[in-house]
Amino acid sequence: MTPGKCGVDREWLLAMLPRHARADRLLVLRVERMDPRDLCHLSAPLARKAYNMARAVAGDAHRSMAFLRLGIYRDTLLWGYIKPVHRVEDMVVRSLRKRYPKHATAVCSPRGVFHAVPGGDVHRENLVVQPPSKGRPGAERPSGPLAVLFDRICETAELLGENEETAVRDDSGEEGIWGEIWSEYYQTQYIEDRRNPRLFHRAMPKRYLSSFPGLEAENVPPGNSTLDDFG
Amino acid sequence: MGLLRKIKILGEGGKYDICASTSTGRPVKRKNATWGRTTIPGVCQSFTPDGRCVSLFKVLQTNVCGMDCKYCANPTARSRESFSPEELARVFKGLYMRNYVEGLFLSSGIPRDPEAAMETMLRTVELLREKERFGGYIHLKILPGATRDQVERAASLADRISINLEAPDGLHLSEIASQKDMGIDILRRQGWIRDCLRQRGKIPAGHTTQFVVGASMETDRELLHRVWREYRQYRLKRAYFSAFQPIPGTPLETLRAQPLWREHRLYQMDWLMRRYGYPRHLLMEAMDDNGMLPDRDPKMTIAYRTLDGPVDPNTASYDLLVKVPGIGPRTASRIVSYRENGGRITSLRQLEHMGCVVRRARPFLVSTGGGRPGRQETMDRWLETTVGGAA
Repeated sequence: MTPGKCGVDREWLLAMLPRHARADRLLVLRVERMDPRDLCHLSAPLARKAYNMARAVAGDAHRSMAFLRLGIYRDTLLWGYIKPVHRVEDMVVRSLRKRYPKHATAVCSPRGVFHAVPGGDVHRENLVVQPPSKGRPGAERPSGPLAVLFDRICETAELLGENEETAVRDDSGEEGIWGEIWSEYYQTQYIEDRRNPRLFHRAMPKRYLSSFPGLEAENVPPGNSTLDDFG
Repeated sequence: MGLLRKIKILGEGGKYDICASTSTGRPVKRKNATWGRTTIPGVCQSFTPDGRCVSLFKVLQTNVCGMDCKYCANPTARSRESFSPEELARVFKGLYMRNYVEGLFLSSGIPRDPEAAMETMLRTVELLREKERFGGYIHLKILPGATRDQVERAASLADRISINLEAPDGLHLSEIASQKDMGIDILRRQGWIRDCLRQRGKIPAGHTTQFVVGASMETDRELLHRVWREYRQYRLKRAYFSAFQPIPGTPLETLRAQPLWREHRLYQMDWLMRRYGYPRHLLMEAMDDNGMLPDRDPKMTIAYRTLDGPVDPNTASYDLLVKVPGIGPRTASRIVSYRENGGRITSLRQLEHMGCVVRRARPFLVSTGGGRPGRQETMDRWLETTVGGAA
């Protein structure tokens, strides 16, 4: 038995903390001025509080990345809508940029539209975007501000020519079929003998089902619950 | 629609295979990859009503199977379906691009010619890696009849590969799958996989295996002995356990389902083995006389049986601290490092901040570091007030 890594990365914690919805400048300042030993080992109440807040931010970013469903716009732009609790939209776009390095990516949220072209930085547009219905792209109105923005991003990406050679193209013909395919696949993965609604709701609280369009398949009705389910 | 039917049948066929991981643990750069990456932390795109994470597109290439595994639905399946490599690659790409899945988990039934079946699976993965230039996560099953060359190709293409042991030894395996020979079909291939692990850049996420718990009446001791050997001898990354559930239409449909807690306790033991580094003799303390694990937290049982007395967090070594229930390797390391930096534990609250689950650890702790004596709780005192009191 050997001891492993144990300390908390101060840089990581201080990068996450200001993104928390309830973080204020005073709190961040107090944490910055803490004894590094207490912060590293979480031996003080403030250190633990800051760590829990940083973890909440990281968790929100993680779930936003996971539960986000993407649409493909003009074969060039991958985009989706999220409604995170904390300020993590730019983290999600960075993560998408690594995952799809040849594509422009955009994430819409109540705080605006965060987007990036291949190899570029993340930018924010102050557009208020309503959640799209059933996860479909919200740029239905061709002349709407979101469509104009998306067209501009696509043009920039096409100018960069990054996706010229990429094999990643939307060749589905009809976008809606993928929702059906996913729904069919999702239903097959459930083992009824192991039904555990408590575990399901702990991993996917209702808040996420309503905050992330495109999770229709996961909106599982409670079915025949037993008293054990509420234990 | 034909595609939806295939997804239904081949998705159903693959749902009992387990893989919780979607990452390689370290970034892997694949040459010419234009989409997909193996993220460092695993992401769960969704969860099913049984609480299991759905992060991989887990399907069979085909459900045609000539084996006679008594626990498995594939040999007796009425509808036979297969994906062509092109079809599967296209469906997977569509789902991945829309962020429905984090990677591919490809398995297959074993038809009369397992080598040909393995070749079709490899063609699918080659198509994704070479033509489509996919750089994300792929878990590929190795079929018992695969050749050494096929295993090596799989090791180059996939992030993780696995071959299922299903039972702890050949005798038990022959009871539930008479056509499989553990030594020839499985262990020999695990040896080839181990050889691949020595080569740079191959199978970055290692190899795994899976057991069907309770189908062949094996004991937990036998299972854990096998797992122990797998970690040592074959450099296994991790073992998965699946509690046996009878599937209608299979030869074992009348056998009693195993309780899910048995699987849970085996995972806890596996965790103690891999993450805590408990030696084997210590793990055996958690077993009862029949070699089975009781439905109790094994770490708690081991602590009761092996700790000589309460542990002082201000003086105890890492090895001792990590044995205390409620203190994991990270918290134990944190305590030791804090002490080495001149810190001193003065209260249970402080331990709680450091990550200790005080509710569980309290009976096993004693403090000589300045805590108020009146509030100090030792193991003896705890036993007196709880166990003794209850009696």
